[in-house]
Amino acid sequence: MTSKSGDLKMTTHATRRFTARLFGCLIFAVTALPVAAVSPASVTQGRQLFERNWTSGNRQLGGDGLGPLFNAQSCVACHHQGGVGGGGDTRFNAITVGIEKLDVTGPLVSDGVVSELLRNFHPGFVNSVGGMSNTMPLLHHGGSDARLSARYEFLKQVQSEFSDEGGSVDPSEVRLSNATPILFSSTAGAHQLSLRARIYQRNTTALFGVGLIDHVTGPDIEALARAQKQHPEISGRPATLPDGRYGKFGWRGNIASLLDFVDQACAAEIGLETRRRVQPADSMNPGYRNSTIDIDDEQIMSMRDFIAALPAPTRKLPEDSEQREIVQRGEQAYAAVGCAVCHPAQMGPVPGIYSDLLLHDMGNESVDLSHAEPFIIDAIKKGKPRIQFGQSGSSPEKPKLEKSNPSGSASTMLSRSFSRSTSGYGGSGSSIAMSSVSRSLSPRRSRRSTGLSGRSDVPGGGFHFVAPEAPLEKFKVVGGVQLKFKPTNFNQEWRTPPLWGLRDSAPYMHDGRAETVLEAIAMHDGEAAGTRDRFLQLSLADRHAILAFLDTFVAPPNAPQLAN
Amino acid sequence: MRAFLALTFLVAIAFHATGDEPASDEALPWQPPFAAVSASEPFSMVVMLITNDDAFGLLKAKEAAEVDVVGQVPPWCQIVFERSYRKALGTRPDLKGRCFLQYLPAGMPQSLTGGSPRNQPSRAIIAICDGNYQLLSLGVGVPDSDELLTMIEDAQQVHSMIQLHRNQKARISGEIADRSMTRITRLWRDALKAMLATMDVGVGEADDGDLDEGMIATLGRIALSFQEVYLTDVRTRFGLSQAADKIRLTVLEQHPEARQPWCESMMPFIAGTDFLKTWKPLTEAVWHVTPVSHRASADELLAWWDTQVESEHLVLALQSPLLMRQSPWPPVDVGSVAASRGLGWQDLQKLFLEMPYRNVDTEQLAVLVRDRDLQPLDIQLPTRARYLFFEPQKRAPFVIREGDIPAKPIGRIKRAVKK
Repeated sequence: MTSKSGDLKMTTHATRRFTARLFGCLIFAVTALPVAAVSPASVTQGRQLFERNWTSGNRQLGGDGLGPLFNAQSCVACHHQGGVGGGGDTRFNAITVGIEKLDVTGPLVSDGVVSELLRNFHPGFVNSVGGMSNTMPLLHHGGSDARLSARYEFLKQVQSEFSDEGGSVDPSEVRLSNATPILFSSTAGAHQLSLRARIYQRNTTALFGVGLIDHVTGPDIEALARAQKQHPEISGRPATLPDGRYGKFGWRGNIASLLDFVDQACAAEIGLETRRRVQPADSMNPGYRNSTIDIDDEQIMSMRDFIAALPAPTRKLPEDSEQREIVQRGEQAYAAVGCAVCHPAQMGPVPGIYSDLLLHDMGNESVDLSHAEPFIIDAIKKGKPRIQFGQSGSSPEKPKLEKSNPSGSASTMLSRSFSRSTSGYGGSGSSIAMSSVSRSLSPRRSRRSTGLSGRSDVPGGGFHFVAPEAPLEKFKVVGGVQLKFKPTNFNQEWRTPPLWGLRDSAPYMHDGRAETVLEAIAMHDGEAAGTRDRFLQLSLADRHAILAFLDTFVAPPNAPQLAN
Repeated sequence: MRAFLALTFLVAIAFHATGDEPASDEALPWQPPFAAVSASEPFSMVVMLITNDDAFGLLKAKEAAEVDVVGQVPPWCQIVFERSYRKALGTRPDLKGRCFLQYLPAGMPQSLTGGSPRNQPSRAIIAICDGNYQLLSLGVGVPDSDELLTMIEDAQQVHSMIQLHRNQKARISGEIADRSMTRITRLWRDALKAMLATMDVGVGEADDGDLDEGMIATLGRIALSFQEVYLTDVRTRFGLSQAADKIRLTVLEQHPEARQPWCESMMPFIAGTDFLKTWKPLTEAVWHVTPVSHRASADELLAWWDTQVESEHLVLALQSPLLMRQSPWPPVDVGSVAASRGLGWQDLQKLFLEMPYRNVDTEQLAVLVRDRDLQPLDIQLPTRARYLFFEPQKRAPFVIREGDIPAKPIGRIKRAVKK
């Protein structure tokens, strides 16, 4: 990785100046919103931490500091388009390897056999107790030579061009990478493994205005989901998390609050272990343990404060009156073809966001096996419910950090275990077959499905269940209510990204595969296919008008800038 | 409060009415295609808009040269294009008086599609040439002002290269390729490198100035090779995966960014060619439909027709599209049974050669149908028409298509001739 320390350093004076401006923005932006008091000192410290080039070792806390595995040495290394906190181009994409198809043949196929064969592909797919996963984050930097060598071999197979930073060099290389499978076969004794895997990428999102998103409430989200139930094409659903909260951050809405986002990003992207999130482990150096955390709660809170203080994107209207009329017509056409259903201008208390923050099926071209937390089963109820599942999730979240057992998420892209013992594998993009000599087993799901949590407050006669372990049953009676389970296409569901700042946040789509807005629109599929087609059926003038309207969404002009 | 809102509204209306409207909405001076342009210094540029609008049926050949085509058959994208053009010239006032707008509608006439319109979705090509119609820049779709300015600047650069390196086609081609390489993705760079390795220079011209069959074939080979890359590219760029997505692709090609890499890759091979000769094969390469200019004339064919049609059976053999002429016709008969019985394509051809027979291209046929009031016929569907067999006094021909089994028309024609 190219060191960016020289680029990212900023004078103390400049930092103070920008912090003062930022703090002013924060006061302005959130006057109508309930928000805990934030001190300018916290914002200042947060910015310094956001821009800090982390290194190995942490004398103060005793942890190992940066890494050992990391995607970048600082937050700003990836979040810098249009200023500190902006998005990043594809060079800064995070990468995961996902197994699409796995065949094991031979006598008496057991978990042990499969895991042994899978280790040959990469030991990162098998955890220390033999559990297997269908996805594995492939962090860009750090770790043992063996890990780096294995990473190199993976990327070499894809025949796509990757940058020194770690992600694809440009959107076209993302597309090439998406199109090229990694094929692997291995033999152990009488057993043969063949599998097809693929690289999945996630693009760095801009953080401008996310402080406002943090104030979107459960009822705000439910209201839009409810409204979409009446829509013939669009059926967004809230990203319900296992604790009942709604996810509002992350490409799959798998993170509920800005604080959680910072917490997770520190661990997953920079390898800074927190009290709740363990840093990614090097599967080729299994004995290594970090002695303690690398970043404390106060630091995480201050980074949250800094990010929350970042100004929201704005609109830049053309000065030319004719062009302004075109933009106005574009806004009308935008609504007329249906873009505004998923990309409404206002979401709860957030004006100009142009997102419903709901999950939508975007079609099978957008499959990514590194799915998010809310592995949801739609349950169609028959009869009246007598129980309430899970928490309501409708009260505004208060910022808090609670100690819990550190979870091992190695990335903002979560892995899901797929072994027979732990189950949960599958989804629309995975196919696992374990064939004995004379029989073939279809993908299995665990029968341990009693631990479902869920919500009953989504109208339309359905429940959205958070089901980390998918039920095998198609029907189940819970609390006197008969439920019909229907898996969702979670592998191709994505949270509607806010369109604010669009002009200054290319590339587009979750992995940055679209270089232009037109490409991004054309790539809309699944629920959005009808809207896409209506866009294409417009006259050229109206299409130009919509593109002109979208071109008015710019990064905040008062975003903090790097000194150099 | 209500009074305040009303006042605000009135102020807004007044501002709107007196605001900074565009300086001029005067009609732009469109010229007929390939009109004579003074080659002044600094050089003049022709910005030619080619669309698949059908101006053919509305204009008799003799009228075509004089008529205001833009007024009669406005280009489908006139508003968008003129806005871009005005804005581009507003940004570059130095171009005023040096750019000449020309419009060439070249859609398939309804008279050759069975009377039904078949020019949807609409298409457009922008070519920028110098005053001698040497091609300097090419774009597919309707550019916005920034895209048009880029095209104009590219054209100026190519013009400078041509001036600087006269008679050094390889050098010009190489410099344009270097420029293109910086604008296209690796997929295209690899394709362009491979093509450059197989081609010494660009598409040349025969000694007599005509673009001969071999050169059309070369152009076709380059275009076809890049077409394969293009399809791979757009599949992933625009999420196209099914045959039905062809219409979506055509709509997307109204935006120049869709075919921009294709154009960039073609330019090293076509820059400097005489656009008067290359516009048809280039347009055909993009549209996959033969362009038909409303200005086409076919005096010799009409004279021949007039002398034959009253009394004789006669045959018009419709030529393949330009880029497909390398495929032999009549095809070698695959079925040995048909050939041994005298019922193959070769036999049909022999039969036709015994009667008045002419090769015609699509434009000539369109002129004939229009100027002699023949009934519309469909030369595209269900398969491409190959022969038109006219019986005396009949306005509608018997159409033999590439998808036909030749034995059937052979029998029918023999019977018709015996009558």
